[in-house]
Amino acid sequence: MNYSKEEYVKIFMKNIFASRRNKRRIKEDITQRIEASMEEDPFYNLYEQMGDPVEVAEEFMENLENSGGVSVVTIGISSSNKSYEYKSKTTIFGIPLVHVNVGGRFRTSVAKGIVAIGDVSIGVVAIGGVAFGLFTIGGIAIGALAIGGVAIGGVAIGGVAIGGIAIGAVAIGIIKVFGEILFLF
Amino acid sequence: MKKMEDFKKQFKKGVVELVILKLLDEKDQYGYAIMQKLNTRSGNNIELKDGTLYPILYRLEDHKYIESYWHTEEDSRSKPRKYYKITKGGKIRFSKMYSDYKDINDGIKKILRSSRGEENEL
Repeated sequence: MNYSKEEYVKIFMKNIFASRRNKRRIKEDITQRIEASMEEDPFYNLYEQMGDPVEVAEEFMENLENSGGVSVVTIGISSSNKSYEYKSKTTIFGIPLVHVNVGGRFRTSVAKGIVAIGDVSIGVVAIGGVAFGLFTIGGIAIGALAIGGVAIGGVAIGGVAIGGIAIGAVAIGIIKVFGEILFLF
Repeated sequence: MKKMEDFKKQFKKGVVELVILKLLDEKDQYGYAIMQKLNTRSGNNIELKDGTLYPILYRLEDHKYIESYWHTEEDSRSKPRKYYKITKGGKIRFSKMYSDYKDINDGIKKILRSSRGEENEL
């Protein structure tokens, strides 16, 4: 397997999640590094000599993070470096039955499916950092039935619950089940 | 075997900043040249990958121990390259690190060469 310089840099940069300044200097350096090696050896195989661009980017990110050079805000349900995506072949009205999409430590990935699990998830059943749908579980869950740290919905169950029926430490709703601070509409 | 690799990796992490500053103290260099020189001059014992070298260079640059500038070599058809240059602060940092490294190295040597008998004599 081999990549052209442009392909390699494109894939590599897609997996770099850093400030604009860091991204700019990383792109400059990696492009120039490839050019220098190709000047020495026109048949330089980027994949074999430098490694898989995704893995090289992951190593970059790990070391950048250790140097305090990463300044990205992510919503995530995975603490792993690597991202993961699964999309079932079965679809209903063109929407995948199951879509799992978690972005790893540095990326926020969106899952859209009948059953959706992701950093941000949108589905009939949605589970994620932020979940939107009919039945939702998440850090922030918004749905007909929402369960989460912050839950907003018809029936909301959570630390902070806002809904028609709100169950939570802080409950805001028409019918509140319990709550330390209560608001009634 | 994996644990030994981890040991080497951790040990290398600790000293790689020192050897990069040493190379830049000798001459301004671009990233790929630093990587090649580290490999050849260490007898391939300190092989650095791109993902390790550049974040260290950025950290050194952010702390103002090194600076970067673009330069095209004269009489060369090659493209402009980003060179890294050690600063005054970097030279001070290098001297301090080198001195600390020698102290630690001496200490380790003493421990590894000493025997239990010597300890009992104390």
